[in-house]
Parts: sequence; structure tokens; C-alpha cells
Amino acid sequence: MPEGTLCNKKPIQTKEELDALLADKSGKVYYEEMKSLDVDMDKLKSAFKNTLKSRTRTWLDMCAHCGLCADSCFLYNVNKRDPKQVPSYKIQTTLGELVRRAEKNKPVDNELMRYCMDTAWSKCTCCNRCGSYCPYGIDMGVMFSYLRGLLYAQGFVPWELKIGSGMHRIFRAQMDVTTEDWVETCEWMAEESEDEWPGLEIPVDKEGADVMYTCNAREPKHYPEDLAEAAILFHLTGENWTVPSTGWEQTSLSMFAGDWEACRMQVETVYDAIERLQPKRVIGTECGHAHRATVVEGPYWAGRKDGNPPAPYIHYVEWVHEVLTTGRLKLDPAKRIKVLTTYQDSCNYIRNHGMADKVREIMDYLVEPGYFIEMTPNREHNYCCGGGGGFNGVGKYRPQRNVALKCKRDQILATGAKLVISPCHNCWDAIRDLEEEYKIGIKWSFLKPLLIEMAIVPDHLKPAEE
Amino acid sequence: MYYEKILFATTASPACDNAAKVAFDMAMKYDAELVVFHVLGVPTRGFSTQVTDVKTGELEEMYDENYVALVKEEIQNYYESLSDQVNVRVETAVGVPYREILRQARTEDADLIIMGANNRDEDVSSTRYRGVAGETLRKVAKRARCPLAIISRPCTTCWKLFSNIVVATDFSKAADSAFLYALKSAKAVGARLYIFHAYDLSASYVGGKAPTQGEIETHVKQAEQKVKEKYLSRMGDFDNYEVAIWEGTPYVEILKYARAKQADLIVLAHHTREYADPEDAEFGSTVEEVVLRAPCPVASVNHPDKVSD
Repeated sequence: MPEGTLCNKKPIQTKEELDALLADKSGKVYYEEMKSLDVDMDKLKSAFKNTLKSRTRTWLDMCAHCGLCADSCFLYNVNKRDPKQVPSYKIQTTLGELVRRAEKNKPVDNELMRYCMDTAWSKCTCCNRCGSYCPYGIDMGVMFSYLRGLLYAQGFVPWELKIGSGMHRIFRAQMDVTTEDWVETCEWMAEESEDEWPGLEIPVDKEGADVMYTCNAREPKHYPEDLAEAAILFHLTGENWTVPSTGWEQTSLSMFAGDWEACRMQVETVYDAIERLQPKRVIGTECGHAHRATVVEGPYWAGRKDGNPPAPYIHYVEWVHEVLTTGRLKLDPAKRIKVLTTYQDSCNYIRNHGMADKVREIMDYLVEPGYFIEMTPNREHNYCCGGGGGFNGVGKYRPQRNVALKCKRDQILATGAKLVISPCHNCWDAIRDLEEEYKIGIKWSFLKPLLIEMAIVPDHLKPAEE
Repeated sequence: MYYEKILFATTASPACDNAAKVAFDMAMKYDAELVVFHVLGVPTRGFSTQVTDVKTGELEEMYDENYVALVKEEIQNYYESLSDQVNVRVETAVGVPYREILRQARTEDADLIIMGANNRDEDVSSTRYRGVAGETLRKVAKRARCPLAIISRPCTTCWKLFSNIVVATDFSKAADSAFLYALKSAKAVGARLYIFHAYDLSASYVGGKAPTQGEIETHVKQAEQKVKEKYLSRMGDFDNYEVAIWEGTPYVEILKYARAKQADLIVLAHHTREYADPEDAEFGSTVEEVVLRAPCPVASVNHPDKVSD
């Protein structure tokens, strides 16, 4: 059976296809079908011809196999320094092998493709840490991301990520949240907050606002209070803001899946909203990969020549830094956190987008002096939370993911901290899961609830009692 | 006060049995539709399609129709003996329990939410449930737009036959709605209404200095005046009520007063600000303490939506 009914090379095009995939519990049929999925060599060769550019070719060729990348990889370390977890080995035996075989006209079999899939999604989180340690600057994370695209096109992608990218294709969101659901959630949250925050609004589709806010579909779906909290903080700081009725979803499971077409479709929805509403700037929620997808990589997916989104687009921590340092949001120093606290550097906006200093300044506002402790290593050198790049959500690789969490667990334990501040959905999830898995007695939080708890509320924004 | 639609949020386990009896009985007596609502599981593992089952702690597929159908059937069977002559509909959802209960109440435009509060370890899931239930109760009580009735102990008196309703007020805006609900309920079932306020001495101690007897008396007088202005002025021709102002720790005084008056129902508002880390917040706001210890149902009412004219 070359093409399965569920596992095949076709992207999800209809809701029915998506539902059929969802109905296949844990992807049982899907993975069974994958075992006999054919490899389209012509397609693979033409992909290499069109997209394998000099940088990747050079990286693959110039790798000296020196092994300096080994220690940089947290997965190598937590897997008992298994040589098969050395980044250069991982990429050479997958992408490197595919390229060599394609060039020599040797066949690529199903088994190799499944090995590539296992490696691309369970032995690399695309955290890009190895790239900082390779003497040649070879970045295995970038190459694994490229490999994921090739694998997706051939149908070798984990079940949840085929679903995830399918969600983006059907709903323009990583979960089944429709425009109606979203707008209704905005109304609901405004209503729920109005007693404590008189005058609070969640304006939908307001043109020419100073700020357009985008978020993660999991917020309206399961944690809508996160949206309410964003609204409260915009309200507190007097921000003239809005959310778009469509184009509010900033994340991209399609990026984790390597479904570049869905990536483009998703990010264009956000850019269309920016063009339509003409905000002065856009602020994204506390999510790392959403920032990478929509602010860093997105412009290229959408073919934007200047490499920028249609309006300045900042991460939530940049906005928090701005309102704290300019005094627009004042925190009560007496309410500073007085338990030992550490901070989880998200790879996607710390190592890969340089916000480490700003976050430290935010910590100075939030945590009582003497109560903040850094993980080791930290900042640009910090390790992935253990669940990045899609690792968190893939059932097939849960055992491997749980092993991967040990790195962060041990880093946190070494600090002695009881609270981990984690302004990234993926990191937040991973830390939540590591607590569930290993029970080390920590709490974890986004920035928003902490800020609201500590904020000094101006008198005119307080509810009138009686 | 009448009810067209009652939302009964349940774990469908013994933890909610006492609440179930009240919910089904009320639905029958008021000819209301009863929506039996169960949150299947809590989302977990990032964007994974798996959820943690609320009862067992096991991972389950949230999109599995067979699983959902099975759970619905289980719930129907569980309540079969109570379902006679009741218009029942079973609904399930996946998500964070308090959030999904609020969402369902909003979608259904429910007139009343009923929940159980377990305080004994009689079934295996209760310890796990209690952890969830504490947060769930607190957050639903705080945010629900309609009254929330919490039933933790067997309630042998039919809701329509209540003869003593105590409303405890702290004079907040939310308490206005609690008062209105208590008044309407008392009128509807012909119960006596007891308006009660406890001057909070525990809060006074926070300042480091206990109030003098003179200060306490001044506060009690002020409270009497407030009761007159805020509540007695709205009684109309209803005269089956009495007022009491005590001092002490509010939840203790409320419970003592309710016991003295053989209350069938205690009504109060949950008005504490809540942005403290919910895990840190002691399981101890007035509402929660009253719920845990009250011998009768407790209704938390914070919003005018379903109680004002």
C-alpha cells in the first residue's frame, strides 16, 4: 500500500479529513500505514534541487565530525551520552544520508524515512544550541527544521503534527477555535472582568489602534483567563488596543510539522489582519515559537522582501519591559516575590532573538532582591525546556520527551528555586509536565498573573464599592 | 424565584451524590431542564490530543467519540434511579473544570448551577477530586453569573419546603445580588429570611490592635443602618424576616447563626479579589469555610444577572 488513507503525502484539505485523522486513536492506523508508505524519489530529488542551497550543502560537507557539538546537546547529555545522540551524527545519518543517496541515485527506503522521522522529532527540538558551539557555526537545528519539511512532504510526520498543521489549514488556528468562538470568548472575558475592572474592554477589529494583540489558540480554547489578563494589563496601562476577529492566532504547529504551505497560510492571515486594521504595532503573547513563526520566520514564508511583518511586532516580554521601565505599569515593591525564583529562557526569543537582558530587568521588578537565582547555564546558553519543537505534544515520543525533561528538572533542582517564571507556552507546559512526572515541588507561572497581582491600580480604575 | 434550567456539574461519583439528590429533586419540583455536566479531562501535554481523566488520572483521547459516548452512558446509568420524571440531558466537555462549567452555564444560560463539595475520603477519587474541587468551587463561585448552590451534606428538606434562609452580607456590591436571591427565594417558598452580618474582628487584628468594645458597638450600629438602607428598604410588603449583627470571625459567626436558626439554606457572596496565586490562597475564604462546615446547602451569588427584576 503506497499511500495510506490517513498516512499519505497529501496535506489535510477538509474538515472531514481532519476528523478522520482525529478519530484514529493515538494514530494507530496512521502509524501502521506509515510502515508501507512509499518514498517518492523524484519529489525528494526535486526538493533538493530547488531548496538545498549552498549553506546547508556546505554545512553537511564541512562537518569535521569533531564531536564538539555533543556536549552542547541536552538530549545527548540526558541520554547517557549516547553517541547516537551527537548532533552531527544525528544530522549526518538523516539529512546527510538522504542527500548522499539522492545524489548517487540510490534508493531511500521506508525504514530510513521512519528513522529520519524519529530522529527529527524525538532527538532534536530545534533549540539551535549546537549551532552556538560548533566551531564552524553549523546549526543542526536549522537543518533538522529543513529535514522536517522534506519528511512532511513525503508523509513521514508524527500523527499529532499532521493534525496540528491540518488545524491551521482548516481553522487558521492550532486548535478548532472558529472566528465565532474567538469573538464570543473576547466578549465573555470582558464581561467576566468588568466587575473588578470597570471600563475594561476587549475591542475586536478596531482600526488604527496603537496595539494589535495576537495569542495562542490554547488560550481561548482552554485558558481564556490568559486573554482576560492581557486585557487587564492593557487596561491598566491605558493602551489603545484591539484584537482581530481573524488573524489572532500567532502560533504555528505547522512550523513544528514542516508544513511550509500551512505556515504561509497561517502567517498571512495574521499579516492580513495587520494590513486591514493598520495598528501602529503588534504584540504577541507569552509564547516562544509563536514569535519565531510570526515575527522571525513568517515574513519569509509570506515572501516579504524586507523580512519584516507589515507592522513592528514585539514579544510580550518586550512590552512588559517597556511598560515597567517607563513607569506606565507600576508594581508595588512590597508585593515582590519572596520565594526563591528562577527564570526559564525560551530558546526562541532568548537564544534566537536576544531578549535576555530585558527579561532580567523584568525580574528585578518582580522578585525581591536576593530571591532571584539563575539556572546554569542561562541566557543564550540555556537548555531547551525539554519539550520544544513539537516534542511536548507527540504521544509516540512521550517516553523520550520525559527523559528529555530531566535536564530542566536537574537545572531547576540545582537552583533550589520553588517558582519558575516561564513566559513561553511550550516551556510552561514542559515544566508543568516535569512537575507531574518527577514531583520536585515547584510552581510555574506566566508573567501576566504575577504582574496583575503586584500592580498598583490607579484610583480611577478601581471598582466603586457600594 | 423559579428555575427553567439547572446546570448540575458533577464528577458522577459518590462525591457528588448529595448534590445530585438536590439537583434532580429541584429539577422535578420546578419542572426545570436538568443539564448534567461532566468535565471528562484536563488538557495536558501541550497540543497533544490526550487529556488527563479527572476521575482516574489516566490519559485519554479527547476526540474519541466512543469514549465520550461510554462516559455519557455511565453517567446516565449512575443517575438512573433519580431520573424518573426529570427532563435530563447529559453533556460533557474537555478542559479545565471550572472554566468549562462557566462556559456551559453561559452557553445554556442556566438559572442555577449546583455542585457538590466533598469533605470525606470515602471513595478512591476523592483526594484527587478535592484538589480539583477546591479550585473549581472557588473560581466558579467567584465568576458565575447565576447563583451557585453547593451541597456538601445530605439535604433532606426539599428546596421548595425550606423554612429558614440565612443571607450573610458584607455589604459589598456582590452581596446585593445575594440578598436579592435570598429574598426572592424566601418569598417564593414562604421561608423566613434572616439577614446577618458579622463585623470582622479577625481583619481588625491584622492592624495589630483589637478594637475596643466602644468601636465594636459603633460598627454594629453602622451595620444596622446599612441593613436598613440597603435591604429593609427593598422588602416591600414582605415582613417574615429578622436581622442580626454579630462580631467575630465571619465564617464562624455565620455558621453559629445558621445553626441557631436551623437554616435550610445559607446565601452569601464570594467577593474576595483573587489574583493571588490560587495554589497559595488558603482553602479558607468565607464561602469555602462555610461550604465545608455548613449542615445545609450554601448558595453563592455574586451577580445580578439572574436575580434582579
